[in-house]
Amino acid sequence: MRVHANYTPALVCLILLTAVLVGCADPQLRREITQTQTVSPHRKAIRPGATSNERFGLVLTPPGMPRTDSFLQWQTPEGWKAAPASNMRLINFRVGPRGEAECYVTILPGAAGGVAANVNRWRGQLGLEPISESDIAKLPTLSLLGQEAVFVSLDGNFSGMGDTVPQKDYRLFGLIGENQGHMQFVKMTGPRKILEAEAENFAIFCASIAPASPNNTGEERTTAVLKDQELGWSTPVSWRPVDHPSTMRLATFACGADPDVECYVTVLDGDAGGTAANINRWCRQLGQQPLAEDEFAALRRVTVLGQPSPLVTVSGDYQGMGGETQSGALMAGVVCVLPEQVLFVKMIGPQAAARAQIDNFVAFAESLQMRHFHE
Amino acid sequence: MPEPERQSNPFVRIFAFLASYGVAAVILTLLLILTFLGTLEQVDHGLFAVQERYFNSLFLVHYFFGILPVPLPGAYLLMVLLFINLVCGAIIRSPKSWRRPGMLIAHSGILLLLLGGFVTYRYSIGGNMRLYEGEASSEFESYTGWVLEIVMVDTPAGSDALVIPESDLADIAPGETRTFHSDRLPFELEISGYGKNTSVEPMLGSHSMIAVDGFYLMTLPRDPEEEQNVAGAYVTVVEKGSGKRHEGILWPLEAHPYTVEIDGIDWAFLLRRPRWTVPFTIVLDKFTMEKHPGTNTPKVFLSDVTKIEGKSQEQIKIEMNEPLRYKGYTFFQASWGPQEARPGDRLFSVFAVVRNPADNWPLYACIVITGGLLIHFCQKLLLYLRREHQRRPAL
Repeated sequence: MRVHANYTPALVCLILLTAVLVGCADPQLRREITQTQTVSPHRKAIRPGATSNERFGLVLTPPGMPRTDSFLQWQTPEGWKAAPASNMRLINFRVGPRGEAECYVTILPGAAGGVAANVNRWRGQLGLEPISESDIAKLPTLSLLGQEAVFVSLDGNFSGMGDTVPQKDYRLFGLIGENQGHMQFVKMTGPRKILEAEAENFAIFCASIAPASPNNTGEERTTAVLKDQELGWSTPVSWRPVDHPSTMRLATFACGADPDVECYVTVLDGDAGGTAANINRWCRQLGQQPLAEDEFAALRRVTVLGQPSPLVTVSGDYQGMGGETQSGALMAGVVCVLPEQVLFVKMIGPQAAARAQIDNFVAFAESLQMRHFHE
Repeated sequence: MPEPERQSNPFVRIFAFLASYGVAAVILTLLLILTFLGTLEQVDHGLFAVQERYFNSLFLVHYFFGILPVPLPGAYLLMVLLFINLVCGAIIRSPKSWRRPGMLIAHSGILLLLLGGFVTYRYSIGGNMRLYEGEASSEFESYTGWVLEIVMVDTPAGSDALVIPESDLADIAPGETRTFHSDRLPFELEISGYGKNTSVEPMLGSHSMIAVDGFYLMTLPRDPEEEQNVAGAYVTVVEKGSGKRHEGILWPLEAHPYTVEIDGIDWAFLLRRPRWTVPFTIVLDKFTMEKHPGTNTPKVFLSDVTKIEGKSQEQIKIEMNEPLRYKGYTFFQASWGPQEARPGDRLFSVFAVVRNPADNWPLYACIVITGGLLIHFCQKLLLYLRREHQRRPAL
């Protein structure tokens, strides 16, 4: 007797099981909320509709959490001493022999009053009259965290918050700009003489501020990896090395016969605001318009440390960060983008004398060699 | 010859092994070593992590000198074995006689101590209640862990809020999104990027992190002190009807919780510590703190509270070493704040709250052990005196 097995029920079960398995999403990816808890009569009232700025903007830093260090990194100029940070001063320094000057970074949610109101507030602190928005629009700009920020350098008698007697002969460097819904400020105040000497450090510090990598360990990067003994070069015959008080410079040279032509090398961590932003800053310092994209793309490239690096030459009336001026100047600059760092080679001087050194400048830049980039 | 037959019985041999002095000595030695190693590890890894790894575990690997891995039994396993050893050796195997009850009682006390440890570990809860003067609460919250609470903003007290436990959040892998749903909700929740220690930072650069309204969630290294870690996650609320999506960041230290309005109802999403409710209310009437003259060291801090239960009210003083014990809950005066408070600032008082069914078991165990040992030593003394008396020749 032949027995015909009836596979139908098994087949139906198999199909149903498959359908159930396919129909149900992976429990790892989809879960039901089953737990409940009784709402307390003493629960604090919840404010509906709070914006992200209201929720996170001025949240107190929890103890033990290095908040600023974790989301910003920067390069501390030598001689600047770290002061305690706060919610209003994310990065805070005392500057000068006795800490007479201070420099700090503030980031506030929203417009924080806007650029014009803050610039005029700063002017008021120096006893200066407010200026119009059109005048503010003409102010020079610098790159701060990848965005253009308005730069002011103001002299006067300074009355800070809580000061009853104005501090005489003060200077204020201020950098203010909007960045993705936040207003960011860098402010430095102190005796004018100290700020004159620290102008370049201020610019370099501002350019060095960068977002930390999202999963960093919260450590501040205080110094550049490059050191003069790690960087080699061939000095043009007519150049001679000179000592310069700025510790941000890896090397400084007097170029040729005219002692007013100087060339120096600096390096910053991160992208330092970007190549274009730095070149445009140089253009503005000489009273020139920022480069258009096609002009930037057309710049001559020289090979520095193996990297094709744009070379720019700009002429005009130079005005430095510290207020120093030089009429009829020429600046040559190279921006070399390295892994995690940017190297700047810059030469400035009277037009005729500096122009005569352009070939030496290029040769010098191309002669740079890394001996021990990373220990 | 019955003896060799008994020895060949594997159950008898196993029992003899479990009841042996040798096993007891090895277990006690290993507990000593674990206590020593765990204490040293706390320096680098914090109390919570070390407790979990060395004392609440079955097995662990200890790295001697930081490099040499040595597997060890955890204290949890060792204490279970010690309990079995004591039951087998000191209770079952030991001769039972009303003439020699001392050691039996003493060992029973040790068993009660171990049992108390187990009940405390499995069934006790502990946390803290923080109150400013004039504030009232009937909840205390855990020192560690997080839950996601989903509640209507206008939910009346006494109704239920839905809660997602941390165990459902912590295993969301990086890059993975987990969907949570309930028939009671008009939306589903998509949770991603859950981090055990995070901060919310303004998005100022162009790095490729997810940003919500100009902020992003930064993952921080895990703090060895578990209480210091602040969890965070991205949430997307997906409306069931329209499929409309609302994105937000969940972070416990926010000034206001994340809320979404759906069909005219505001829903709040709070990442917070697990909480427990006590069956009465504590009101902080007055907090007193006195410092030693010329220092910031507190000399005394105490809280005058009112315990409210139904219509009855009771004024109680809670201070250091004088806790409030009521209905299985113990309220200790733990700390106060803010630490940077200036004279005249409003202060808050912090109570450590514990509910431990075995709260007094160690005391009872110690009494039992003491009683057992006293009986045993007295019997020994009497026996000695009797023998001496019998040995001494009659004068």
